[in-house]
Amino acid sequence: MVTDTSSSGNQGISFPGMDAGEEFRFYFRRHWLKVARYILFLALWMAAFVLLVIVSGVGTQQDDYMRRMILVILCVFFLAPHFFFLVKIYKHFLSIVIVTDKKVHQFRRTLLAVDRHENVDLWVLQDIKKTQRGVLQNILGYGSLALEAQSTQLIAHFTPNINNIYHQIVNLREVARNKTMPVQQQQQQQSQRQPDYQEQLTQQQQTPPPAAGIHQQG
Amino acid sequence: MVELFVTLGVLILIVLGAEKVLWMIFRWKMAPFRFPSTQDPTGSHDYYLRKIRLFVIAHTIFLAAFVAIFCIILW
Repeated sequence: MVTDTSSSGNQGISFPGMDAGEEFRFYFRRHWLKVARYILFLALWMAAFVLLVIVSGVGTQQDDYMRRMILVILCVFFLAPHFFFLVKIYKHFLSIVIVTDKKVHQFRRTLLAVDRHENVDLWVLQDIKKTQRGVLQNILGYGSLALEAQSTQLIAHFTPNINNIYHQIVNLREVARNKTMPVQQQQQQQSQRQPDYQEQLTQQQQTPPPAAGIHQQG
Repeated sequence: MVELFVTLGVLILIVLGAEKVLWMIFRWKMAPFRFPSTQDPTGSHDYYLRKIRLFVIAHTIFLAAFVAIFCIILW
């Protein structure tokens, strides 16, 4: 689920944590196979539910009160995994990676418990690694994307269409470096000049004026 | 018979209430992250929200119907 909106008008797009100068490029969510796990879990749970209905003997129970109690418990046993599955679906859509022209933002959120936001500047990225392990990942084209800067690392697992996203981020990093580096070089030059100038000033202040008496004696 | 309807009513209310509450929380959390989709020809920002809403409605109907039929048959 990758959406590239770089060609369309994306000036009005904003999200929490976005800087004023940033421009939205594209976003993606995790691969659908992440949700498929929960579908499998739900299917297994339903098989267990059918077994439980058979084993509990709810249909052959003579006592009305007992039968109805078992029925209500079975209903709860049926509903619980469905709501768990729904929560996982919501979590899938709330976790999102957004790429702008300057940063990569990763949001990992659940309905109530977790609200995590990580971001890394594109121009400081040293390594961009993509990993696809196994036949399934290579066939379906998803994998893990690791963005490494000096002290931070942002890893996006289950990245869909990973080859395309990898190349897009590499290109955006080059563009961001070209934009940012001249400014950085200027700042470095200024920071290099300032100590020299200050050193000159301090040297001038520290050197005492020539004492008249000494020169007379010399 | 009254007991059946009361039990069914409570169970269906639980289903509807839980679905509604979860949906409202999801919409609230999703609100700042609505982006246009290329899968939608109109470029709407609510493409996925509409799809999920349809899924949630279908899921609610399925759960309520299953619980109702299950209880009526085995009551």
